[in-house]
Amino acid sequence: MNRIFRLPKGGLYLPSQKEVVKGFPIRNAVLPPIAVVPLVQSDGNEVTRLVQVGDFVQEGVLIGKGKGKHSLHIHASIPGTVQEIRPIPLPRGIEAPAVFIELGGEFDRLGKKEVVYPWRSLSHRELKNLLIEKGVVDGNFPLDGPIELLIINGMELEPYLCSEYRLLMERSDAILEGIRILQKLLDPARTLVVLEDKALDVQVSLGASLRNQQIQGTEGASGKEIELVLLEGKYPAGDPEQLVNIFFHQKVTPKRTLGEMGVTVIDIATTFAVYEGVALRKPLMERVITVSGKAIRRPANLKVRIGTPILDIIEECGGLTQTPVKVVCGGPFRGYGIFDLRTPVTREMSGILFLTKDEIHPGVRTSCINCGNCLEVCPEGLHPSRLFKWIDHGYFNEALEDSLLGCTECGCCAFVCPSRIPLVQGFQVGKVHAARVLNGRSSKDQPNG
Amino acid sequence: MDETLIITGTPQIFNRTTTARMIWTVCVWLAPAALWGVYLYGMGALKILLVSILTSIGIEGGIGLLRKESTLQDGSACLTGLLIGMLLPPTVPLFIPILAVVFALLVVKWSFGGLGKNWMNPALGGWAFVWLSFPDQVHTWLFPAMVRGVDAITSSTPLILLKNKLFLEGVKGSSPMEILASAGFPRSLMDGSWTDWLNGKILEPLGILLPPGYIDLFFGFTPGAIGETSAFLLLIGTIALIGKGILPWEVPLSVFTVFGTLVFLFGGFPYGLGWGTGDVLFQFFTGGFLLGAFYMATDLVTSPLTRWGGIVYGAGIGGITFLIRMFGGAGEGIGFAILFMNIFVPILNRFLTPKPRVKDKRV
Repeated sequence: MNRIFRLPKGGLYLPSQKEVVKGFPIRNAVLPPIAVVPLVQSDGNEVTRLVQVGDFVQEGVLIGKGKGKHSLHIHASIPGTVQEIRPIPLPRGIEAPAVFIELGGEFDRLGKKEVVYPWRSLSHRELKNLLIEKGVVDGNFPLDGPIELLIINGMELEPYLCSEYRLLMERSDAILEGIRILQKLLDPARTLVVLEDKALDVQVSLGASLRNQQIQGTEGASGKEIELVLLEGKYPAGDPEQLVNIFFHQKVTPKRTLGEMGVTVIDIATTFAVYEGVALRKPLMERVITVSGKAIRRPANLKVRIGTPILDIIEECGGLTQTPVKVVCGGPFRGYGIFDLRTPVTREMSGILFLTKDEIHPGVRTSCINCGNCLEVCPEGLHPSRLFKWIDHGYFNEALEDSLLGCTECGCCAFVCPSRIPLVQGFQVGKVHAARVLNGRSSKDQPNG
Repeated sequence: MDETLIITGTPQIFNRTTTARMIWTVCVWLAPAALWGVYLYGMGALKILLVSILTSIGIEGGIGLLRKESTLQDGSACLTGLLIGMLLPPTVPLFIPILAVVFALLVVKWSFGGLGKNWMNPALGGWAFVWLSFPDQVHTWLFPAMVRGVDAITSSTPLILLKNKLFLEGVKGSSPMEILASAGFPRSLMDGSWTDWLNGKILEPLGILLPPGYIDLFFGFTPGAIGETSAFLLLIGTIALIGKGILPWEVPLSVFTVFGTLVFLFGGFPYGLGWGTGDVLFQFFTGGFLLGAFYMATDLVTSPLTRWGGIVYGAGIGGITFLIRMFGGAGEGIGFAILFMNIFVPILNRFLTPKPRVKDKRV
């Protein structure tokens, strides 16, 4: 616990911007009059819809059945009547069908006391089914042990976001319980909880809970150890690729994925969802988000129902003080800007940021002045400016030779670029084209040939 | 309100620094040294500065009209104009700054595609062009009026005077400052009193003695180009800019270390003195060394991308400056040293870049 691990290369000490909202405990948001539950999450398939317009749904009832990777079971986040089903734009820029539920009827869970179900006696298969059934993981998620290393990622390094910090502070017992469940499922040789070196309060909170459990002897049948390790808070040290490099001394490459190495990285929000799904038998229908940014009147950490439109959240937080220039879903580095405030909260959304102009420092793209900032901050040791020039001029093979696929799209290079060159976008486009180049090539002749 | 929201790719926020902000900040922190030059050398200096800045802005604006995309707001044209003005002696006829700026912007910068594409520092390129083309006009210098107490008179710079004494007249066995004093190089009244005060209060207890003459060099009471003589103001600007993270510190540090070490070890030989007797302070404060090391060698466009590249590049500049000052005919040296090292930047960039963490080239 004494040694502080570090990002081996590059990275940025970011202005945290968390102070405004860090101290506010998680509070339950008011239920929205209409919840808009999208039927697609992240880049997964659309789920099989189980409800029709006019149906009455109970809170937590399955309304969509997941199929395939990144496609989870979807539950009604509020009780009510299905009003309509139509496509809406999602933060990632895709359109997906969503179920509009108008609030009404009885509440199943709200106001009732939480019942903690015993789970230690459950079999591996039962636990796994429970997680899939409650929409915490998809059917393809590797939940079979034994694995080498389980990393619980407590590094919340993106500016503004505090939702995981609040969970760690307020629900450290639940998170430890979640880790026990994961340990039982995955049977890891080692379990690491990675915490930021400066976050003393979190270390104390989690450390105290851990000691309490050890004293009371409730660490579980497996009795596996949980190690707390400290990592310097330099973005993007919390990225799975970097964590594996730092703690497993292996490199994630497009060829060698985490699963093949026997490493699983799980973040705090998911660990908490695992606890709720297994110990409380509660489907994933709400999540903790940080609402922050200079344009919102009362920043907060809210527990909101999936599908709550952002407009309702603005109202919940006292409205806007000024017109934001950007509304970001997620963190400012990995998150997405949205253009429609009726966009609902999705389950991968860790925060909603209402940013003003003096927070984002926008600029017009000018030509590269070879300052070398991007080289200095790249955690992968790439040459971002040269890579971008390759892609900009259509030399995709050269970009591949220059390790384009080593880019994790962390955004450090674009953040420090004084010429505001859209480097990350360039690499995303470049990867798509490079894949085409590779495919076209491999059908004819051998690569490197 | 929905229409006003900006949608971009990731990341959603940026660092405060932009290219234009960086260049304008450099302009602002250079301006005091330039204005000090106007105070020292009179209104002629102001005319030269204004002509070179306005020509520069005019040309950049004209190119902007042709390209239908203005680049004036990035400040690079203003900086080039300002630097060219500062590199010229205060007596040059006005066609010289105009020609220097035309060469700098049209040939050095825009023929390669504008800011960021040029391989040679534009201001130095323009300066070298007129320096080589009009040697008579750019080699007439002025003594600041306040040193003599009378009107400004023409003179040669300390370094050129020394070259003449050493190589033409064969003076040996005394330090640069002693040679200057015996040649009748005037000193201001301030120099005497400040040197006495410094020696009495601070240096003597430490066992050091500062000979007279350095205070004049430090504050610029000496002949030289308009903006190069005031070590004091250039240093203040540099500290501010390095503190703000706008200028890289590796390059100047490397220039100073290598040049200072070489001067200290071997700088005494031309004067007939032995090992380790070189006058480092004198060499730092003369011949535009500070302006070159802090503001031209650090030009982001024409210096290497990485820290180690910058260190090698700076070491090259320091070494070549030393060679030119020891053996060359030109007194200053640093301008040509930087231009020479500009040539090596692509090769330094090729070899001194970080290694990718993931070596896989293919999926």
